[in-house]
Amino acid sequence: MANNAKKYIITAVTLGVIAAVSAGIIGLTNLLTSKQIAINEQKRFNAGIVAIFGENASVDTKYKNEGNGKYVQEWYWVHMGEGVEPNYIFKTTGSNMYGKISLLVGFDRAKNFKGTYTLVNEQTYASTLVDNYLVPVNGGDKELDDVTCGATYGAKLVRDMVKEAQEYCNGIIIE
Amino acid sequence: MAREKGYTKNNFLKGIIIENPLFVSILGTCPALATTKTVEAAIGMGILFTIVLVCSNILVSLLRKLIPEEIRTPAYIVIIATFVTMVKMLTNAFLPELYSTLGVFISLIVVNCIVLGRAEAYASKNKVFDSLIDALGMGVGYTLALISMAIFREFLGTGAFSFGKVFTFIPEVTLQIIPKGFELSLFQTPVGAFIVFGVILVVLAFIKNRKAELKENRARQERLKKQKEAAAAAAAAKSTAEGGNK
Amino acid sequence: MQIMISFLLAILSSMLIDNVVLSRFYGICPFLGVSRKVKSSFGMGIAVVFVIVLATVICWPLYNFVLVPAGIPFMDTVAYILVIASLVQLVGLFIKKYSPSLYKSLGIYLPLITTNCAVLGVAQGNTDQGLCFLSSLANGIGTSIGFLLIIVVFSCIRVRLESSNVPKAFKGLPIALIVAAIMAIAFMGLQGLFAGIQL
Repeated sequence: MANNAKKYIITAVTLGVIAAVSAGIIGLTNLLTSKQIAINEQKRFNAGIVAIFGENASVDTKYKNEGNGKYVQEWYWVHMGEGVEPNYIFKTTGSNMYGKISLLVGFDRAKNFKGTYTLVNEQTYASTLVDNYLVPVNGGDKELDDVTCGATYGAKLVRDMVKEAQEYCNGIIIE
Repeated sequence: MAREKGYTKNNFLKGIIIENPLFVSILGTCPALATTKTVEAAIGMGILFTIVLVCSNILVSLLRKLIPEEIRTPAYIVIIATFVTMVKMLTNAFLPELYSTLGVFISLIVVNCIVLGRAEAYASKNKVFDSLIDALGMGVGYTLALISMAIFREFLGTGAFSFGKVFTFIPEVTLQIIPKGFELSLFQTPVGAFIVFGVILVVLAFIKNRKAELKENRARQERLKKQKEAAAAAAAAKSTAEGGNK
Repeated sequence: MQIMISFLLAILSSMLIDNVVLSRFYGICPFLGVSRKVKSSFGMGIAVVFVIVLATVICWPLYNFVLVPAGIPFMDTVAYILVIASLVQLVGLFIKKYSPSLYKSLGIYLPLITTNCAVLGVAQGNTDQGLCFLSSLANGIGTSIGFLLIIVVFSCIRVRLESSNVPKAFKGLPIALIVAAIMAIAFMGLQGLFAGIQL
């Protein structure tokens, strides 16, 4: 009996030690990498702004405006150089039955839709969504409202996100 | 312990050809079908896989006397999962494109039968150096198998080989071999994955059968030759005997 | 009602349109390894359904109510694989106690489930994709039933293949893979299945 108890203790302790050590190692790796991951995210954000507005665009993340919509989390002014009025960029995040999407939605000064850029696309049908919806919209083929999207809920979600961003944009009054 | 010459070399090479984990043992098929759309993704997957396999094999071999028999499998799983998580984080930080290309299949290295299989079957019984060599051989063999599948799929499916999209530190190059519009995009879909894997297995089986056939033929010919010689010798002996009788 | 419909649609779509084996490539190893006989593939499929649904029900709350509040979401893979490994053991013990005959037919497949990518793939995918609990459950149920469906259909075809006359080099696994490719083509045809349904 005592022998058995000893055996169980050794087994449990070994497993515990292995688990603790592995947790420690992973935590350490996380400390090392989290900074770089944040930098990567920032890079992707900047790449998205350049993709929507062109080379000159830059965003000062200090001027972050809180959004309180269902999808719109935050928005920024996009500077287009000296003496040019800034544009708008909206960061939207939403999810449906098939995963989450995070999109940048851009509008120019006159509040016209300029384009979208996908930051995160965790949809199950991610590639279908890009081919069938995002590419045509950004290419200018399709108006925002003429999308019938029964096939992919993702497209519906994207449409809602873009629409909310547009409403939000129209609601902004510049002092 | 006395060992035959070239043991280390054979230990390394067996993973590449004789015991190739993908084409001979048919293990680790999920990533083999899912991450072989492009050669680059296949190389990336192979490298990550090899890193995990080598690290876990070394650690399992180091701890082989410390881990009690009853909890071997859970302990190995935790060790493997730790390395996979580390590799996942490092990839996310330093090669974000590779991370988003492979997606959940980096996490799924944990349940790749090859890693657990090598830990159970080899590393838990052998010394550290041997386990390292074994893991390297298996890893390289698996990587080569993935690349060979990806070559067909990328070439037939997109008509081009492109580099620099996943490994962003090298300049982006695209070699368009089949003109655009003539590629068979079927090979980029799951269907193509199954077909390519099947056809490679067919070719390997064909070569194996052919070799066996040739060997058999040669053996039969030799046997016939021997029989003939024996018959001739017997005839000669008979004739001399008859000659002697005369 | 709307939630009910989208729940059912999510089950059907992860079962048919996005089939676990033929388009997501999870669980190919048992798909090829345990599909020689209809009976054994049915046993494997049922065992997988058990484990996937249970794993989904446990792993999602574990991630969202334990790992995230504790600030260690990066421990997810380790936690999931431990949950799955112990689940497999528990399911084995449970079946052994309450239905020895079922255990006799399922028992040998249980250890294989730990290394079935479908289980970890579903658990990991649910939290990576940021699904809610209901969608995770739908994904788990749909995926596992999809696996059961496909492995049983595939084994029926393989039984026929065994007795048919194929070239020597194609015998066994290669012809099975070609058949799987043809099945994948058939399943590609289901992609637009729910195109007309408006919610």
